[in-house]
Amino acid sequence: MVKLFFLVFILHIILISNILIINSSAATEEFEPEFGLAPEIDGDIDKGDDEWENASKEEILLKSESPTNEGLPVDIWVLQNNSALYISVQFELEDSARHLEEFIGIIISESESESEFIDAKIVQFSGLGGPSANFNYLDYYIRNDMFFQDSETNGDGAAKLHGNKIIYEFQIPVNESEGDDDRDVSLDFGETYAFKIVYGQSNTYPDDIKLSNVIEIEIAYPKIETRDPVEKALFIVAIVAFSSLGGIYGLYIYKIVVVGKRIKKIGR
Amino acid sequence: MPKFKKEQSRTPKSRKISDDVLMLESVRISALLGGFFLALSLLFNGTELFFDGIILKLIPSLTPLLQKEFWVIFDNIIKVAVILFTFFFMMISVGNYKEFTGKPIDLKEIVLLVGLSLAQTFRNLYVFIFTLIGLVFLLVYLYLIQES
Repeated sequence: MVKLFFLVFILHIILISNILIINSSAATEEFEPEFGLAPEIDGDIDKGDDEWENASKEEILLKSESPTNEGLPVDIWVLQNNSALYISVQFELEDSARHLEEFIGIIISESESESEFIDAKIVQFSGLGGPSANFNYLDYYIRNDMFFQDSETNGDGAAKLHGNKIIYEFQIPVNESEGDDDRDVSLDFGETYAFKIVYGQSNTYPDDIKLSNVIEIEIAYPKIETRDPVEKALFIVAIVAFSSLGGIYGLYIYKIVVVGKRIKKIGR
Repeated sequence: MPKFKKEQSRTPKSRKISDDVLMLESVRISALLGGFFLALSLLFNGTELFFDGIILKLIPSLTPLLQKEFWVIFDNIIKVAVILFTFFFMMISVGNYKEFTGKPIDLKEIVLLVGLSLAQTFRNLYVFIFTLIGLVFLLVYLYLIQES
């Protein structure tokens, strides 16, 4: 009897731990973005301009609470520079699976904690696949799980459909002085923040969020720029060449002035 | 006493001085114009702010309709043009100055001016090539107008 009880107890513990592990929303990926050139936020990846070249790229699964939903695999690209964090969310959907309206949102926590989400940046797409396809970038702040639209839009976002693939691009300022505005999260260098990537359809936030997953991003400190030796050499050559040119020009002007004075003297 | 003041005829010496003043004025104006374009060249061919900043980064974002390649060409045209204008005005100024001092401009000075013009193009091969072609055309043009 004791043995049976012990066996049931062990099984119970195993089951509970499994449920806890499955339901836990711990961040699936941790990003330490590289520094790179700021991409243009237009829903296009311009390869000619090496846009997103240094981005950290990972595939994650946006999950639903419903166990029957397989979720949506998305590519997440993260890039940073001194003034902003850039996030691109890309995925493919067959025409039959696509809705006329959809959105991708980035919900940002004040810290690594997933219980402190206070800011939401959303790109809402409408008329997808049609001639009047259009998107809106929206900035919300969150209080008690309710979304309120921010009167001042912070950051930028865009989206574009390329065949079956849709590309969302976001730009979120970093290291901004918060001031009195606590409606936008202040992303500071050296800190890690939780970002919830959400997918939904109509513009009812947060009720229409269908899929989500959390990632963590560490906002890196700006790198101390070291000059390329060739650039350094060119810089020195520029100083020498233009200083010599300036010197010769100055000497020439001096000569003209002296001759001018002499002419005036003779004239008198 | 004569009723009309007799117009004083200018002596050849005073005429010479007045011509000299005019010539010196031309030397000065062309040297100042040369200096103005040299300063522009310093900005566009020497400093990083203008070299790869103003034209290629600021203007395309203000006028997104035009291709980036257009602005690259436009940027290079400005760089070549400011060097050629500097050379043109300095050549006129030095030529007039030499004539003023009684000597013709010699090969040494032409080579020095060409060399100084090409020295400004060291950061960009396209600017170097087109400046070289431009300098040849300018030298031929100046030689021909001198001959005529």
